[in-house]
Amino acid sequence: MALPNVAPVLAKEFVILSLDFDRAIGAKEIQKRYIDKEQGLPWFVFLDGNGKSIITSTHETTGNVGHPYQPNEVAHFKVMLQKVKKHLTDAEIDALIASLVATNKAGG
Amino acid sequence: MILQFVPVMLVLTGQAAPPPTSPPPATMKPAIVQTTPAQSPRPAPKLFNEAVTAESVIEKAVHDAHTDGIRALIVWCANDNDRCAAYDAARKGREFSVFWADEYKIANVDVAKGDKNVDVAKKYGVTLKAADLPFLTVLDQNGKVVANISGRELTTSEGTFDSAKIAAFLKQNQAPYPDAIKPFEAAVVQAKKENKTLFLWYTAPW
Repeated sequence: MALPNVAPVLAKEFVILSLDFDRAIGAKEIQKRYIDKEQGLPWFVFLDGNGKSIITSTHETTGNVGHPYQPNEVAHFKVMLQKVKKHLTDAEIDALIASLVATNKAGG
Repeated sequence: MILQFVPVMLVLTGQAAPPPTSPPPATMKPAIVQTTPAQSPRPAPKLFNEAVTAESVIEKAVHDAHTDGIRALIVWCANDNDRCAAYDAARKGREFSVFWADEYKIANVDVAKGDKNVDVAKKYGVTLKAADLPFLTVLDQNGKVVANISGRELTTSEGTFDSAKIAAFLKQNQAPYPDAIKPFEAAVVQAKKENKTLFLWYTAPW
């Protein structure tokens, strides 16, 4: 997100809020609105302007993708982006995914 | 701006990309095991890096603490010092794991025999005395002194380091827990106003 080629693209689509799961007061209660089982970290959810869940990082069969690394995890992250896109183009989503894959390949 | 914690999305920065999960390729066991001269065990890394400046060590800890919204802890002590070794042993119990994982970024500053980095310590309100090592200084995420304590105040009446006293000091001076509700509600409002999606991301200081 801090990368210069990534941040402005994400900003077109998202308001981003990071919560410290262990320390932020009320963070766990907020998460329970969107998923009933405890998840590993990182975990994320895309919400609409009414605070309603659109899609989460928890894949229905493989679980939380966390930091998307394996191909199926990256694929789920792409599905998430596709599902919420209002401002992002397909080309921008492809570029975000390519950046993620490249970063993963570089070993972080 | 809503980004109270200034998220650095690991997903796209790759700063903490996990290692590949596939196993390493299998290797053949050699038929003949060659023996090599016994190597002396590698010495444990020194806790207090004597080659770096105190300022750089403190600056990094404060930077990291700021990123995570927690506090920095300066440990003024030295390698090959019995008191420092005893303190280090006393702060390694299971009850301390939450402090080191979630609450503090550590800056180990080498003070030799209490005669090194004296001026730096003074800037933080610490007057070094070899007999009272270590000294601990808690800094907030902006580098401002929150509390100081000497090793002498962390010992039992017999002079051994008291884990309960150390834990109490750390607990008393850790950063207050941030509120999640108000930032969350504000982020939802902002998302609606700007016709955007709220990317709610859960993470932890570790």
